[in-house]
Amino acid sequence: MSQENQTTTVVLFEPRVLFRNIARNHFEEKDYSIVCVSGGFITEEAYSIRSYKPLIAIGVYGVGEELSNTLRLIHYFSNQGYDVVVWVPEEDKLMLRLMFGLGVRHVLAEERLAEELSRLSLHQNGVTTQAPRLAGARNMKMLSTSELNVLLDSARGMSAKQIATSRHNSYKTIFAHIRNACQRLGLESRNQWLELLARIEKINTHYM
Amino acid sequence: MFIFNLRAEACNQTYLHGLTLSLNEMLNNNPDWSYRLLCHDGCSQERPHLTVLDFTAYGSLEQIAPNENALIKNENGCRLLLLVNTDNKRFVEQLIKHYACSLLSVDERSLQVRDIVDASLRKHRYISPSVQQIFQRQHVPEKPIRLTSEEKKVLECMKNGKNGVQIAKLLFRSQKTISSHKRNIMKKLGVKDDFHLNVIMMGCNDL
Repeated sequence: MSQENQTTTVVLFEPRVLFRNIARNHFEEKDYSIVCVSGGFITEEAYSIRSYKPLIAIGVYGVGEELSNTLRLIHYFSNQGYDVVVWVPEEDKLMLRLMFGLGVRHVLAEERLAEELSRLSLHQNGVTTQAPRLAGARNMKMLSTSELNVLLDSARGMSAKQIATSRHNSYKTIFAHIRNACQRLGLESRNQWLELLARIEKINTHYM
Repeated sequence: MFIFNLRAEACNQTYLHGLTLSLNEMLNNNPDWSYRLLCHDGCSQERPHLTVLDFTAYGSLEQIAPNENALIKNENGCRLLLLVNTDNKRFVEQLIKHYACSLLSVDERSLQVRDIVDASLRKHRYISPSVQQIFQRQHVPEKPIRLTSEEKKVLECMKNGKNGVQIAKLLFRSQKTISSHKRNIMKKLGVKDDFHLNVIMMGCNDL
């Protein structure tokens, strides 16, 4: 919290041109130095990020086939205490919850991106109010790495048995992970779980 | 100096903002070129080179507002740019077939705004790459899936997030009947488990 008055660096990952324009414009006006990363590069960039501890800004709906990697990185960097800003469509409550479950503190509605970015106040402790309010859930907790991995494997269409084999677990462990993940994300039924998986899959295949 | 007149009708501010930022960038590279955003009524004597309409909220042709329909009829196809969401593939496909307007997907990843300006001045139709992609893919003939009316009802309930027991109560059928309907649906759609069924249900709104 000490060196923050110097130039902040933003790592911006948003493949969609219109949204990237807005985000870049916003950060330029604030005199941040911007690193735009493009698909495939995000994982490589992640290694060098640690040296300068930037703000990370990601448009989740634009990342396409990089979604799994991106979600893992969001989870990792949020866990490490980085400032992560993401934007998703406002009506996608399940994705909002997932973002919150990944530990993201600033979740914005992409339909009003410019407005939401200008209201964003970083470097404050605790959670921006948007995320839980938008998700309509209060008592949510962060996912563990295993739970996230099981979630992402399920979203690739793997059955619990297949995941169990690949992770060298019993399939009962996998079910326990799924159940815990549902609980932490505040999902009430199997249907909501399946819907979340289908949404992840949809973003994944959007540009294919 | 050439001034390109742009008009936007009831457009989501975020998309419009993003588009104008792209135009600004083009402005920096081409000093002898400029653009102007026309307001709705005031400068009516000036004819816009391009009118932007926001169709991202629409899901079918019937939802298009009457004044927008009139605009589509009056304006020459290439003078209109429709913003669309490629999520709704069927709707986008209908737009491509029935209208001559230019189409731009709001989640376009590689956008050359110059192409849009060029196309509208040369009276060509502009179709952005990801919309083009849908168009090409839709040409592969698919065997139409025919569901019975009962199966459609069950599918509708499943879309609304109901489980087997709830559907059974709602439709006054036994759970086994519902389960069998669901099995038949899955067989017709060619899916093996609930996950893939959900993926398909989310992908198409018209089954």
